[in-house]
Amino acid sequence: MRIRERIEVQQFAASVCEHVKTGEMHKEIKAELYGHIEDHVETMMMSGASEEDAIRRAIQAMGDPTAIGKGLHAAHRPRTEWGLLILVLLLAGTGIFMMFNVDTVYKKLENGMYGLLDKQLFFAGTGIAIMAAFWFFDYRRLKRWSELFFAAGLVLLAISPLVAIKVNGVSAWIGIASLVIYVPRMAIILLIIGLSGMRPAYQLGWKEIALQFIFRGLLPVILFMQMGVYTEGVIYMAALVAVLVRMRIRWTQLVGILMAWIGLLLVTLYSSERLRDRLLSFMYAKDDPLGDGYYYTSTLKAIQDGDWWGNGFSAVNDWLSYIHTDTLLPYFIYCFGWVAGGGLIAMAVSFFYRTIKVSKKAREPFGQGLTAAIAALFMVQISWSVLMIIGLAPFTGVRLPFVSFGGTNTVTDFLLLGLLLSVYRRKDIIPRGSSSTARQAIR
Amino acid sequence: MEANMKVNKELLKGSTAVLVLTTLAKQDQYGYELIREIERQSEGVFAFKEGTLYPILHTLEAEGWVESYWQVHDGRKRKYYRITDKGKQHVKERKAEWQLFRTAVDRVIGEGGV
Repeated sequence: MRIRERIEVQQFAASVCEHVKTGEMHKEIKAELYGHIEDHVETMMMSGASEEDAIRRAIQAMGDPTAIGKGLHAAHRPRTEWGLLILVLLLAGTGIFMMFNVDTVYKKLENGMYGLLDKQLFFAGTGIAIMAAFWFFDYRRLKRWSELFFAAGLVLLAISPLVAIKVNGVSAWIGIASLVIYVPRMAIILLIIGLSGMRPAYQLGWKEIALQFIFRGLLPVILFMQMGVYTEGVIYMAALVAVLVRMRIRWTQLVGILMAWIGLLLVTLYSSERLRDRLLSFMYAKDDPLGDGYYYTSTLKAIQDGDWWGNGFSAVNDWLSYIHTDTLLPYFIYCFGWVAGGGLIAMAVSFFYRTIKVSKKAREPFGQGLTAAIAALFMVQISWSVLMIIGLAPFTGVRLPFVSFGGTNTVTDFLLLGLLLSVYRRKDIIPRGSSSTARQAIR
Repeated sequence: MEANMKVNKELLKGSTAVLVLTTLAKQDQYGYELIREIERQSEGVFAFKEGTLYPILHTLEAEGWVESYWQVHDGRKRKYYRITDKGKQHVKERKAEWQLFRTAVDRVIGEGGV
C-alpha cells in the first residue's frame, strides 16, 4: 500500500481541505501534502524507523491541520477587483447624468430627440445584469467554444451587408423586434473571445504565425473595412497584437505583424482618396475649418469656452452636433470646465490602466489572452476619444466606454467588464496542474 | 474571512516569507526540500511546523512573488516553486530594511561597550 493511501494520511489531508472552500483546489493541495509526507516518511525509514512510526511522526511534524487549512483558504479565495468596479460605476453614473443634461438641452432646442436618459438607464441596467452574470460565470467554459465564437463573428460580419440597415452608407445595424443592434461591436466581442482560445503564441513557428495572422488578423480586418467601419477594424488589430504580446510572441514575429498592419493601413489610405480625406483631415483641420476640419474646430472651441469651471448644467451650445455621442466629451468640458473634464479623463485612463493590471494577474493562457484583448479594446477607445477632440486623431464614431449614449455599446462594455471581473475573481483558484499552465510555467 | 486575511498579511510581513524567498532565489525547490534547506541553513533555529510552509508558499504565489509548476523528479511528481522578479524585488527591499535595523541596533548595543 502506498503511503498516500494510508488512512491517517488521507484523514490529515481531508481535515486540511475541509477549511478550503474552493473545492477546485483540493486535489492539488492534497497531492502536494501527500508528496511532502511521503518524502519525510522515506527519509525516516532510511535511518531505520518503522513505517508505522515514521508515518505518525511525519503527520505530527506537519502541525495543526485546521491552521494550515485556514491559511490555504485565505490564499485561494475568490477575489474582487473593487477598484475596477467602482471606476466603471462612476463612469456610467457620469454618462447617465450627462443624458439628463443632454435631454434638458435638447428640450430647450426643441430638436425632437428626447428620452435619452430613459434609454440609457435601460441600457445600463441591462448591461449591469449581463455583467453580473458573466462575473460569476466561470469564463474558462468559453474556451471550449472559442473556435465557434470566432467563426460566428466572421459570419456575422460577412452576412451583415446583406441583412443590415444602411445608415450613412454603412450597413451595420440589424433590427430585431424593437432593438437595433450594432453588428461590428457584436462581432468584435465574439472575435476576441475566439482569439483568446488560440494556441499560446510562444509555441508558434513562423509558418503557423503567418497562417494565424491571415485567418485571425487579415480576414476579420478586411471584413470590417469592407463594411466601412474602420474604428472597429483598428480596435481589432490592437486586440490581436495585445493577445499575441500577452502570450509571449517572439519579438521578431511581433515586428513582422506590426509592419504588416502598418502596411495594410497605408495601402487602405492610399487606395481611396475619399477615405484619405476623411481620416487625415485632422492633420489639416486649420486649412479648412468649416469643411473637413469642422469637427475639430467645433470641439476645440467648446473646450476653450469651457474655461476652468464651465458654463454650468445644460448650457446651450449651438455649434456642437451630437452632444450625446460624437461630441459628448467636449460638451462635458463646455458645461463643467477643464477641472471636471480632466477628472473624467483621469477616471477613464485609470480604468484602462487597471484593466492592464488585471491582465497581468491572470494565471492561465485563455484568461491572459482574453483580458489583454479587452484591455487593448478599452485602451484604444479611450485614448482615441480623448485625442480626437483635441485634433490629434481622426474623427470617427468612437465612443467613450460606459459614458457615451449607446445600446449595443453600453451593454457590451458591461459584458466585457463582467469577463474581466470573472478572470480576476478566479486568479487564485486555478490549480497549477492544469496541463497548459504547467507547460507554460516551465517556459 | 477578515481574520484569515490578517493571518496571511502577517505571514508575509514575517521573517519566514523572506527566508523562503531568499532560499528560492538560489534555485527552484519543492516544499519538503525547501523546509530541509531552511533548517540546514539556519542550523535548526528556524524549525517550524512543516505544514505551515504551504499557506506561506500559496500566499506568496497569490501575491505574485513566486510561481509554481509540477515536474516529475526521481519518479515522483513534485510541485516546484520559482521566485519571480517581483519576489526578488521584495527581498531586496526587505534586506535593505533589515540592514538599517541591524546597524541601528549595533550602534545602541555597541555604545554600552560590553
